[in-house]
This record gives sequence, C-alpha cells and structure tokens, in this order.
Amino acid sequence: MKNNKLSILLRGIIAENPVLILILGTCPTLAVTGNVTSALSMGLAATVVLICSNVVISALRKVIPDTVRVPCYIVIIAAFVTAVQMLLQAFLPSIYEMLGVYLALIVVNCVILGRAEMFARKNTVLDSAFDGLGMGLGFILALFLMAFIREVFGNGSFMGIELGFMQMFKIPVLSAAPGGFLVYGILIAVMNKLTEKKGGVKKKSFSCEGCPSASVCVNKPCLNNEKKEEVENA
Amino acid sequence: MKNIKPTIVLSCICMAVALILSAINMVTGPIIEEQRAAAANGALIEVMPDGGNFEEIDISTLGLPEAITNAYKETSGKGYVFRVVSTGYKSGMVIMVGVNSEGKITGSKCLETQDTFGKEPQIDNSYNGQSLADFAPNMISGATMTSNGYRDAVSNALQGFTLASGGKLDPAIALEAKISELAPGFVNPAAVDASGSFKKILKASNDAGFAYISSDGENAFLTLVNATGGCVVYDAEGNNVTDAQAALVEEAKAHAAANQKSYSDDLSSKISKLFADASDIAPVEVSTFGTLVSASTFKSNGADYYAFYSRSVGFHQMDVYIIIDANGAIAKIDAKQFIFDEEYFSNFGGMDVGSYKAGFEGLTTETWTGDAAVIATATMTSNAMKQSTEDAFAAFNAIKGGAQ
Repeated sequence: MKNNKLSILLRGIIAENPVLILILGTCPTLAVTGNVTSALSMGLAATVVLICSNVVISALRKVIPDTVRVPCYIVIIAAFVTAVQMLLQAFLPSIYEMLGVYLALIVVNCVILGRAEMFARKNTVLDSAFDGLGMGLGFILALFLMAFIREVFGNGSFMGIELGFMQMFKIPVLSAAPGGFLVYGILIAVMNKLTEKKGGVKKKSFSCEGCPSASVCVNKPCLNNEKKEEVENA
Repeated sequence: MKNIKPTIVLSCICMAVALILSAINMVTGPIIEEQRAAAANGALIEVMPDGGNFEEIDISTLGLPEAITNAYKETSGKGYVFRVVSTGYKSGMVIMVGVNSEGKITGSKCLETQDTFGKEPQIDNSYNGQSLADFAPNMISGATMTSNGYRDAVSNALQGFTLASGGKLDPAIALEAKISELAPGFVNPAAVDASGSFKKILKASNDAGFAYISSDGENAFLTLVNATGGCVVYDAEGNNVTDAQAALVEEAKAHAAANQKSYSDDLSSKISKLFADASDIAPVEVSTFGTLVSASTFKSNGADYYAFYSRSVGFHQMDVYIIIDANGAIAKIDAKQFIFDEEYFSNFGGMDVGSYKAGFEGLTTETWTGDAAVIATATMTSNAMKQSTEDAFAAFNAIKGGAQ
C-alpha cells in the first residue's frame, strides 16, 4: 500500500472526509457547530489528538498485540485528550469552558479511533501523521462549513460578531439542535452529489458492504466481523 | 502463556501514559488552581476592583455584627469584603460589600434578594466612597424596605471593617445600633438637632420617645426617654446605669418634655368617649419603651382603669387605645384608623369592627395569645394591633409591679 504523501493528505479533506463521507464523529459535529469559534477550537483540538495518536499508534504498531489493540488505542487517545484538556484549561480557559464536556468526548470520537484502526496500525509513522493531518483538516473544514451556515444564517453572527444585515433574516432553528441535523443532512447530500461523478465512495446498501469505510476496510469483502462493527458503531 | 504479552504491553502503555500525564499535570495544575481561585474571587473583585487575592478569615472571634456571614481579607492588605445578609421587604437579601484599608466602601452588590421590585441594582455601588463617619443612607423611592435593608447591610459591613481591622467601634455608633433592641417601640429613630451634653439625639418617628447618645470621654451612654416621661440610661455594655447618671436623666427628661408631642389630651377625650362617667383622669409615667405615647389612670363606676395610647405601625401609622381594668383584663380597645374602614380591603373573613373589638375584651396577660389581633388578609395591621396590645400589657404590668 504505497501512497503518495500528498494524496494521503488530500484524501481526508474531500474524498474521504471523515464527517461528510465516512460519517464519523457525528456527536461533536452536531454539538459544537452552533458557532464558528467553538467548531474551529473543537476541530483543532481533535486534529492535534488525531495526529499525535496516529503517530504513536503507528510507531507502536509492531508492539501492540492484536488482541488488546482497541484498549491500547483508547488509552493512548485518552492520554492525548487529557493532555489537551489540561493544557486548554490552563492556558485557554475560555475555549475550555466553551467546549465543555465535548472536549473530553474526543476520546470516543470515531474519527480518531477509526483512523487508528483503519490506517495508523498498518502504515508508517510519517504516512500516519499525514493521514492524521489530512483527516483533521477534513474534520475542521466540515465543522467550519456547518458552523458557518448555522451561525451566520441561524444567529446572524460570525465568530460571535453580530452581522447587522443578517440580524433581520436569521433562521433561529438552524442554531438549535434540529437545525444541526438539517444542515448536516443537506451537506452530506451535497457532498454525495459532488463526489458521485468523481468516482468517490459509493454507498450500496446499509449492510457492512455499504459502509462508507468499506473501501479502506482490511477484510474484503467485509463480512460480519464483530471487531469492525465495534469500531463503526463506537 | 500467550496472554502474558498483551497484558504486559497494555500495562506498560498505561504506566507510560500515567507518567506523561502526571508530568503535564505538574505544569498545568497550579495554573488551573489559580484560575479556579480567580473565578471564586470574581464576586469579591467586583466589589473591590483593586483587589488581587482574597482569603476568607475566621469571623467567629471578631464579634462582628451578626448579619455578616463571611469576611474575606485582601491578601496584600487593600481591605476586606463582607458578605452580609439583610432583610428588605423580605428576608434573605445577600449583599457583598467591599471596604478598603481606609474604611471607605469600594463597591457593593446585591447577589440575592427576595424583594420583587428589582430596585437593588439602583443601589449597588451607590455607597462607594462613604465611610462610617460620613455614612448617608440612599433611599430609593418606592422601595423603602429594600433601601433600608441595603442601608443596614452597608452599615454592618462598615462596622465589620472597623472590628476586623482591629479597631473599636465608636461606642456612640454601637449604642445607636442598640436602640432598636432596648426600645423596640421606637419606630425608625431619626436624628434631630443635638444639644447640651448629647452628641446625638434621635426621635422616634411614631413619637414614642427620644434616644440620647452622650459620652464623658471614657464612657458612652444611651439615654432613653419614652413619651410618658419614663427614663433609663444604659452604658456601652448595655448595663442599666440610670441611678448613677442622675444628671443625664435630668437633662434628657427636660429635653424630651420640651420636644415631646403631647398625646394626653387626645387620650383623655377618648377615655371620656368610651366611659361616659370617667373621672379623675391623670397621666401616669410608664417605664417601658414600647409604642406607647401616653398613659393615664381614671375611675369609672367606682373602679380603677388604666388607659394606654399606642402608636404602632401597621400598613400605615396606627393610633390604638387600650383600656385595662385594675385586674389586668382588657376593658375596651379602639383605634383611630381601623383597616375595616378602608375600602381597598373588603374581605376579612366575615369579621366586623364590633366583633373584632369585642374579641379583645376580658383578655389578660395570661390569656392573651395574640389571636384576638388577627385580621385575615391584613397581616401588617394585625401585627401592629398585637404589638400595641402587648406594649399596653407590659406597661400595665410595670405600673402594677412598681406599685407593689
């Protein structure tokens, strides 16, 4: 599996965008995209954790036995999340307050565990770092897009600054929870339409085969592997 | 045996992680702790913008006014912040007051209140710059009770500052605070022109008497004169020193006699109305400090009676007359303004003036429970009637006790 570094990087941004194509990390996506600032902070925090955990997991890929790999990954990811959490609380307390419980929940963010399972454990440290960066950027981009739509049209503001002319046309439901699902659904639909022609990931059905991650899955055809399902459902 | 490797690897990873995290925690821990403290200090900083760090001090040994629940000292010595609980229209006003090292107020903020007018923000910070010496209440119209509660809180904080910073309260101020305890019937005593050896003279707004504050260099005295001429002198510790301070008694009595509005004619005419054959009406001096403004003895139908005129405050100022017979039982009561007459109250549980008055008759100190005074839907008036009656009983018992 030889990969051009640039293609690894770009893949995460569009073709295998973790949020809009792989449909991973839905919970933080919906939760923190109410405004652009928190979305960007969340994206950055997750990216840092993603790159670091990818690098470490890749470096330890020959040491970690298969049977305990998921606990190992979780411990490593949790360590980075806790570190980020402590650093944010100490040095950027306002962002720490804003992200609240979702910061700690990066531990169970499927983007990170998913990339550990799908990529880092099978690739070199450098490739894994690029994958983490690409996926992180894709995550940030998707969050930014959603937050931009929700904040500008839902709240008539951008990064907390009120936009005078938008104040008269705001659609409050967008900044509420249902609006999150609405925008998310629309973005996924648009993304599907765009990537369709370029031979992007196609969903066939709701079976394991139809899973958005099927193309990067180890065991092809992906048959009912319990561990896989664990990862996908996490 | 093949389970050993995974166990070891997982354990090693966990240990490494724990080590790294504890290292990070050593760096960030103190910073986070500092921020937590700063957040807790937020309310304190608000009333003392110059302040840095605060530490709570033990107030149990300082003898601070009871209203102060917590005191915080600015660690660099810039002053104190007090959390004071006060009572406005309802109890439970919580006010933070900052006092700087010069004893001046740096800020005040009402954190909690049960009062519904929402006028507290208008008073917040309005006392800034004042000290115990130039303390002037800020009264907001339409929210007198709230303003009073706020005033008390600020005044308590200023007294608390003096004590917390090792000073002693000016005994005159401490004595002034005791007036409400020693003369509960003196409603809202307000300062009038001081004269003679008195540093401060306060007059009860219901004309129940005067309070005089004086000091002879070392000792401070509080002299109370009620509307009937009864006089008592207290020292700074609250001891009754009337006998030792004859000069003060004389001077205070003279001042009171010259300035006291007389209610005895009013009481006499009321007695004549209630008891057509009343004779030998003679004013009598009482030694209690309730709401009474006049007291008399008289004879009717061959029996002795005692008449008391009380000015308690219900919803408004009230004028209540209570006649007690020689056996201590209420013979008659009346009042100038009965709430039954006021149109905006219509339902008193089927009670009318006649049956209300009759409810008092025959009650003695022993049988009095306060129930007779209760008027449904008129709590303030009921409480005032209760106070007047109890003041009359107290005065009666004092007269009787003195005569024995």
